Amino acid sequence: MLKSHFLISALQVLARFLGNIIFFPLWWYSVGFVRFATKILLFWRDEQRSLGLMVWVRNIFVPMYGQNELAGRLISFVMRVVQILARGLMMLFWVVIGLVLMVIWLTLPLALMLATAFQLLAF
Amino acid sequence: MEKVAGLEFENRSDHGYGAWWRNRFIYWQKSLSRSSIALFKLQRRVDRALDIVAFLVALAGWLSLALWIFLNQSHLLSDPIRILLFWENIHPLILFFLLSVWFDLFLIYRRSENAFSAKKINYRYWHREPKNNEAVFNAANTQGRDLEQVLFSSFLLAAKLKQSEISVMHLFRALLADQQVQNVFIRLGVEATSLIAKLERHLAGSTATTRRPGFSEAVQSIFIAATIDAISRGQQSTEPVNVLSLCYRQDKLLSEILYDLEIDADKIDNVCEWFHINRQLSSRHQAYRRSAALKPGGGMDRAYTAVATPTLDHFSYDLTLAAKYGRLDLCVGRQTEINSILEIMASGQSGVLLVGASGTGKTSVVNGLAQLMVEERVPKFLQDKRLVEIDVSRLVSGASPSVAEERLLACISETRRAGNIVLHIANIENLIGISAGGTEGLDLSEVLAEALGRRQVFCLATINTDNYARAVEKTALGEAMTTVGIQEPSHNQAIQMVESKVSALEGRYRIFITYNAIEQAILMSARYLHDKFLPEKAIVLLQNAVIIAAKAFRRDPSQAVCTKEHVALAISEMTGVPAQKLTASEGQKLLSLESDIHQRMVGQEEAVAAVAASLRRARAEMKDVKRPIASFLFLGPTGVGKTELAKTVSQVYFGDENYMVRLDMSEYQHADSIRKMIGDIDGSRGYLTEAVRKKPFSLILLDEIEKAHPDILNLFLQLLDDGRLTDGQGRTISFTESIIIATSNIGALYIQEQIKAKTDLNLIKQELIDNQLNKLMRPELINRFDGIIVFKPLTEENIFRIATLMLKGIKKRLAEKGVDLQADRLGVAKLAKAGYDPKFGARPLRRLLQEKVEDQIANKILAGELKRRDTVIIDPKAEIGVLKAKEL
Repeated sequence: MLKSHFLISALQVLARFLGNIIFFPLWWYSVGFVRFATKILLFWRDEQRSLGLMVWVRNIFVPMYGQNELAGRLISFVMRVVQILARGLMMLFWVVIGLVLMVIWLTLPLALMLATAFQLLAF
Repeated sequence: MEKVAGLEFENRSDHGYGAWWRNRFIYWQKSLSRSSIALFKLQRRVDRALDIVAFLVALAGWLSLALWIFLNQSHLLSDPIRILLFWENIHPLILFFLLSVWFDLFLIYRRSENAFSAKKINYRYWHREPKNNEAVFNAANTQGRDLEQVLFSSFLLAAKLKQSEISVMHLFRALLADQQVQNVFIRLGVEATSLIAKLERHLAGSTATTRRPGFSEAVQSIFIAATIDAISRGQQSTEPVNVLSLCYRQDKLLSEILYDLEIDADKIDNVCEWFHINRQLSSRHQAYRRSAALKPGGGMDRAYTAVATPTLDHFSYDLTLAAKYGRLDLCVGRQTEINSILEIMASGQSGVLLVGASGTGKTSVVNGLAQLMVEERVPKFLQDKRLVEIDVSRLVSGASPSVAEERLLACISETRRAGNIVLHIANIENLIGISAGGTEGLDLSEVLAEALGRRQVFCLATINTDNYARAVEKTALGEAMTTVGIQEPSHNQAIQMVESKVSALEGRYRIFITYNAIEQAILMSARYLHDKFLPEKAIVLLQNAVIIAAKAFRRDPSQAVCTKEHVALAISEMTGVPAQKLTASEGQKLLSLESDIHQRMVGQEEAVAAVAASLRRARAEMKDVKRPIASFLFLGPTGVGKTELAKTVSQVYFGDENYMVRLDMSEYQHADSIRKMIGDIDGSRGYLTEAVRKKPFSLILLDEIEKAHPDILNLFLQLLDDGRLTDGQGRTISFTESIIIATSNIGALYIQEQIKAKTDLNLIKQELIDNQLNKLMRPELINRFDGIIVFKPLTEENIFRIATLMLKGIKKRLAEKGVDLQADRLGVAKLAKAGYDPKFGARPLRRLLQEKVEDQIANKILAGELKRRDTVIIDPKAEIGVLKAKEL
């Protein structure tokens, strides 16, 4: 009785252990990637907020520093375009970084496999 | 149906015992057995082993890469790009590193999964209406790891004791092994070992069975209620702390055991709340730091539409900026007030005035608003705005009223043009009464009121209650602003507010603060610091107590705890209340009060007994807390010990004669001497009110009360009844910690005659009240004394003992000069007889001893006849002699 109990327990533990290992690659390309991508999206959102890019775009025709006369409006418009371009470039940089990270996530296991195979074959 | 924690429980055929909450039937079901628990634990261990192995391999991989770089540094340095192409090199170290990266990825997987599985509560499910198939919920699915562990232990405990039901007691015993719960009991200052011993005694008593134990309905209801508590608090999972306070309420025996250890439901709730507050504070802090980073750091809004405000910047302090950089304390428990401010502003009112007594937390509310603005968790019209405090003293300093007015106008117009500023003015009363151009000109406050009336600026101001009533109500400014009352928090609210400050205090002074210290700080500050308000006074008091504890810690490094005794010391420093009065250590002393008093007082047994009984009542807090500790009227001839008894009471009860405030009522014979007693509106301080305001703990001796003017006696009517008096400046002075003793010679002759005729003392007292006292004092005043005590004339026997006592005093003074005193019994008796005068009591005796003993000794000392080690002798004839000491 005690022996069979132990056997069942041991089997269950082993099943869970193997399950963990088998599930891991699947997880990497499904749940894991979704979670990672969500993090990148949140990072982009925060960067966008911190750069205030959308705020600048929304207010593109609103004069800066309360300068309501025509010259002020014109200068403001030009300044805002310059700002939007500069901030847009910055945002683009972060977008590229995020995309690169996502590509790394997706390709890392494959690259690892190739590199390992390359090493093993060479030995 | 049964009710637990406000939920109605019922038994359903399909899911068993449970309750309805948010349109779902919540039940608790978990099947446990010894083997399933063992398996679960084994699995957990295997999981941990797996994590550790993966970590070690991953670490070794990185080390091997580092080693490879180190070995090949010479040719890597010449071409650093080669490091990036390391995998092209065929080397065992590289191969091992590449293999180990799999373990890195595996660790990422495990971490992510663990973090995900720690989130047991799915708020998307709880925030929507349940679909048909979702209307039942098993609360067991929300339990976190720690609670799971508790569950297992309680099951194994019941199984070990062979008991068929897992009761609240089992659960509670298992809870005590949990780290969090242990911390709760450490905070409560309870020794876990004694509690465990008591519990186990009760647990062992139940009947034994071989059946597998099942969870009782009480335990199930606790788990369900705890789950609901955890969900309402937004926790990730249900934790042991959620369960703890429910246990107390669900089991009578358990609550009695805890009650015996001075733990009641409120205490457990408040400490559990403390844990929740700390958790909220730290998670709020993290979220706050994230959003604060996004708040613009300068005076501009995000879109740069604001206008620079140089004048305003010069005279102001940017609260949102301070909040962004974490310089403001977090605001706790004032959500209602903040919401009403936001509502008022949303309704189009441009001025909000926070009115509350100083110390109730007006500034804290303003800070709370600044923090919400930093997080942008405010309605649209406040988003991307700054909260700027105008520094009024800076605005008016070094400026004539007209310049000040100009400055304020400039600030207001800048604020209006900038469009992203909410003004804050602390203590707005400072703006009032400054007007340019003499009486005709506009007051500064009116300038602001006008701007507010035109809805040009948003302004949030604070003022304390007195100043509001005096200076702002019914002025233009008062009309222009909507008031929000900031009330003093209730006992439990105040405790929770103080709890939110504790971790900062603990960190600063490296002292552990117990829950009892916090509770005591609230209770004592409420009781002894009358002209200040919660929570500030409790915070200040606790801070002082922590400083005292920190000093003690420096002397004795094993004592890093701030307890309620430290709070008692702190309050004693702040108010002059003797510290030992505040702790329970003097109970024994009060039980022997009579004999203590009789060490200084001779005779008057009835009087002493009445006073002692009354003081014991007061000390055991059986008295009405809104009246003085005790009040007596002492009647009797002169020199029988009325004043002496008052002094003795002060010495015994307060620890020092100096706690006595003596008023000779013969100095208050005119109606206008009331001013001398309580002060007047011009600012002169009253003798009585000022003394008690500074030292609330005191004995007030009203000598010869019958001589005071009737108007003054009327003051005492209120004082004896309500325990308070309003002084000339309108402040309320509390007398609830004072003892009032009035003395009078009324009927002295009558007392002497009746005592001689051996009339009963009670009859004498009644006759005095009915026919003698009422001629000079109003009956309602006489009635308000706790006791009217008649002092008997002294007998010869009394006088003899008084003489002995007085000689003891002389002996003590002589001992300081190295001289002894020995008195023959017959000599003392002779002195006593000579000093005895039934009309004047012990007074003539004092004079006699001065003449016959002290004067003579003094002469001998001056003449050099009395040296150190000599002995003064009072012989049977009451003559003074000197016994010379042996020459050395």
